[in-house]
Amino acid sequence: MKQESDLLPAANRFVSLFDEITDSCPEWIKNIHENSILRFKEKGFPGSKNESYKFSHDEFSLIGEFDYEETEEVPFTRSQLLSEKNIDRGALTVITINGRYSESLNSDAAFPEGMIVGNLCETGVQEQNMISSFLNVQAGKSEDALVDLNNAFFRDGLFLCFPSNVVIDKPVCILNVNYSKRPAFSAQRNLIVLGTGSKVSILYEDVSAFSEKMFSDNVTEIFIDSYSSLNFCEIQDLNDESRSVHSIFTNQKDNSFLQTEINPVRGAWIRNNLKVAIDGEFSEAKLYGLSVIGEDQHFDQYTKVDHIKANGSSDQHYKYMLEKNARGSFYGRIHVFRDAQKTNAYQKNNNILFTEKAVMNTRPQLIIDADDVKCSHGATIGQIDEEALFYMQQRGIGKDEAKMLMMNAFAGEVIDKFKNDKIKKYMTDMVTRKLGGAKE
Amino acid sequence: MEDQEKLIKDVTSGDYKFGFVSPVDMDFLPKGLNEDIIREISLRNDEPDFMLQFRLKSFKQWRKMKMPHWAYLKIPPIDFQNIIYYAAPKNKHFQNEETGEMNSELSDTFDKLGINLDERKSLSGGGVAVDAVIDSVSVKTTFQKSLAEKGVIFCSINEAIRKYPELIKKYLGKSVPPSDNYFAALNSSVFSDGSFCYIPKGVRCPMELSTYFRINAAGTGQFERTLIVADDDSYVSYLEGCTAPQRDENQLHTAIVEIIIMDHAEVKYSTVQNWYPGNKEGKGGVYNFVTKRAICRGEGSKISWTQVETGSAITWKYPSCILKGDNSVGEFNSVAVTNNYQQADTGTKMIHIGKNTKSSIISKGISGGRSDNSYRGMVKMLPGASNSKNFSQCDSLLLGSKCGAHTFPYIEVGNSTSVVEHEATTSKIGEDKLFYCNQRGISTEDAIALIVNGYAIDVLKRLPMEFAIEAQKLLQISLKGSVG
Repeated sequence: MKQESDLLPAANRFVSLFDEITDSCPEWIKNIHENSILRFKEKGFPGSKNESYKFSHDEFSLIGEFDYEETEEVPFTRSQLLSEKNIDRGALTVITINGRYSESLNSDAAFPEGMIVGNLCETGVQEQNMISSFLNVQAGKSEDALVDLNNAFFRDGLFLCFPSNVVIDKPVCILNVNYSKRPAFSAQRNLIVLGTGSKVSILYEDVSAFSEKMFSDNVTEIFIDSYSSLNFCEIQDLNDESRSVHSIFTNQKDNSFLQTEINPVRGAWIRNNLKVAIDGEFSEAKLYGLSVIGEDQHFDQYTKVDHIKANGSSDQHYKYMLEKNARGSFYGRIHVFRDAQKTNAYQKNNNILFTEKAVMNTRPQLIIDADDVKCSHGATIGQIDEEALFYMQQRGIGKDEAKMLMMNAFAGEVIDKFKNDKIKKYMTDMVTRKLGGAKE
Repeated sequence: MEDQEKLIKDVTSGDYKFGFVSPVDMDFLPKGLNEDIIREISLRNDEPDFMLQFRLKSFKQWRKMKMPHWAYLKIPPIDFQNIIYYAAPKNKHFQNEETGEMNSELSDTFDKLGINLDERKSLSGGGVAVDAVIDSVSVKTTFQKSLAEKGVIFCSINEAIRKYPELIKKYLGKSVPPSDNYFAALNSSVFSDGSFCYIPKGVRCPMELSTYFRINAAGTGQFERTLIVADDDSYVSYLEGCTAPQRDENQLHTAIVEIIIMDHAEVKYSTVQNWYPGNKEGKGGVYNFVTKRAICRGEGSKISWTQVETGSAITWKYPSCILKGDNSVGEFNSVAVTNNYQQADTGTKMIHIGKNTKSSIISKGISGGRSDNSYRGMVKMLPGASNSKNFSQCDSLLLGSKCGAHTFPYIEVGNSTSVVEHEATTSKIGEDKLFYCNQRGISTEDAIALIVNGYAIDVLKRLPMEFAIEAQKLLQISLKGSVG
């Protein structure tokens, strides 16, 4: 536990770093940088007194020493990078290096018609009106100091736009490579816009190129216009020294649909902030996630769902499986605004602790200001049911096998809700692989 | 305009039936909070030096602390220097010991409140020993003698400080240390009276004990302190009630209840909180900032908190259980009702330290008018609390489109053998249910009362008989006019 004052040296280091790095962004983006560093300076890093970072702030003291990383050129080819990983992600892959769209690595890619892919800054010059009506619109309202830090330090990012009525059958994969040969901090930024009536599935894969320590502070803003549908799946498969904060903001208009599947798989310390605004009527959000946390790992999921308009619905289900000295934390807040009548909002968080040293904190919260609503949340922390285990053993199934069956069943409840069959398989295999060695 | 105001006043005054002021001749200390006031309170209570030191140390602590703002409450700034910290009736004796003559000022007040301080009458009605506290002092404690025969000490805390300093030294501030929070430090500095109860080893207290708190004087705050110690294998059921006059000013009530429970002992603590909630426009009412905590020190000990919260403009209250002894049990059952402009942030803390400890939380929140009602609760399983269990259920009922119901649970588990389950729901009264009642000739208002009572029955049935009836009536009154 560290107080805000303990984290002051690290915060000060970032404030002075801001003056050292060059800023060649368009003027209006520079303004965002400058305003944000002031906001960050005022707040500093969140410490133990900050409710939302209560269990995830110790790491901030470490990163004060890190260098700023803005490399976007890597000595790899597109095919090398695509062949590295074990997810069969299909053909449509956008490669980003430290959150930046790389022209050279994507020159061979054949993106479907209607899809706009590019650099944030470059497009920000050509299409200032379009970009400025989205960029930082949601993130700018955040009180989170880590979002301010990203706002101050991102120097470019990925812009992905699906104009109205674009339907892309195959999932679009964003392969983000965290690349640094020294302990480094990087601020990564994505802007994803879905026009009216579009339908898209995105797989966001976050990986490390080396085993070097990295701290990435990522912000993704997503806009989903009326009658649009987005499936956003994230797999974070970073190296064992990686620290990452990813703040995702989504804004939904009337009759839209969003499903998120956030799965931290590997990394030393991962914090995901998911802030969903249901800002249109008859819109639906489904938010799922599965975390299997092992030795020396800390995964923290923070979700905030704001039901701003009426007749919306949301369903959340997050599961954690913790072994060895794993640390898990879940914070979920549903806020139903006064005008959001006829809202249905549900949230579930189930957790299994396998060892004495693992720790889980969960804080499911409801703030309800409208009366004609149905809202519920449930949270459990427990173990594998010994009786069920015994039942299986009686029937000749070995203890380890029986345990595995039960763990797969536990994880399966969330995995089954995922849309992409390849992700389903990948996650099922991951559970088996990670927990296969989790014998007591 | 004047007519309208009169009408509003008439209507509001009809609802809170304990809003009268008794013409009691009072003795006050001047307004303000400083070391001199604390010394004077200590002097008037004829306290030994260790108590004065306890108070001064607490005051020092309080000055270092800041008003907490984490609750989901809008608390207007409180001027702690504009409060009278000590107000006592000039004639504190409820009954003249020599002549047997009653002090009519006080006896009339308690008669009007329906609190029976006459032992003979009370016995025929079932027998509840009462410690009656008005503003800063306890004026009467009934059945002291018959309780003493069993070895039970039941008296005002001031009397206990003088007569049983060893017990006080041993237990005061052990469950709620003065540094615990802002209001605990304030209370520890200025508490003027309250109740003390000690149940010796192996004694099952023959009757229910109760404390009745009444704020009467204007401009005062009430700072009472209750300390209950249940020694090995003992049992006591303790009731607490409270009311205050109807005033346009806000009055501060900052209390501490400390309970210490030894091996295999059990304490059942029931509260019906009915402080003046303010009028229909949110003017006036009591600010109720209370710290209540029980430590189950002994093996197999048990604490059960049951509360019905209907009053107060602002409630900030979290009766909690520290389950230190192995196999100890903590229960929290609460119904919190808010209407008009009331705000409540209430709940519990279950800290599991011992092995095989169990706790359960049932919280039913009901909000109407423009009120805000929050449940805030923590369940913490420490690494040593193996095989412990908790179950929490927090339901909220919304009775109007302008009120709010909020749930803030905090669950922290640090071992792999404990099980924690939490569930919460929020909804309004089903229109189908109301329609069903209407069809059968039950008016909407009666139907709501019926449904609300059914909703809260899990908690109400745990209250002792007298309290349960009172609580049911209170629920009906509190919710009057909350719909449509």
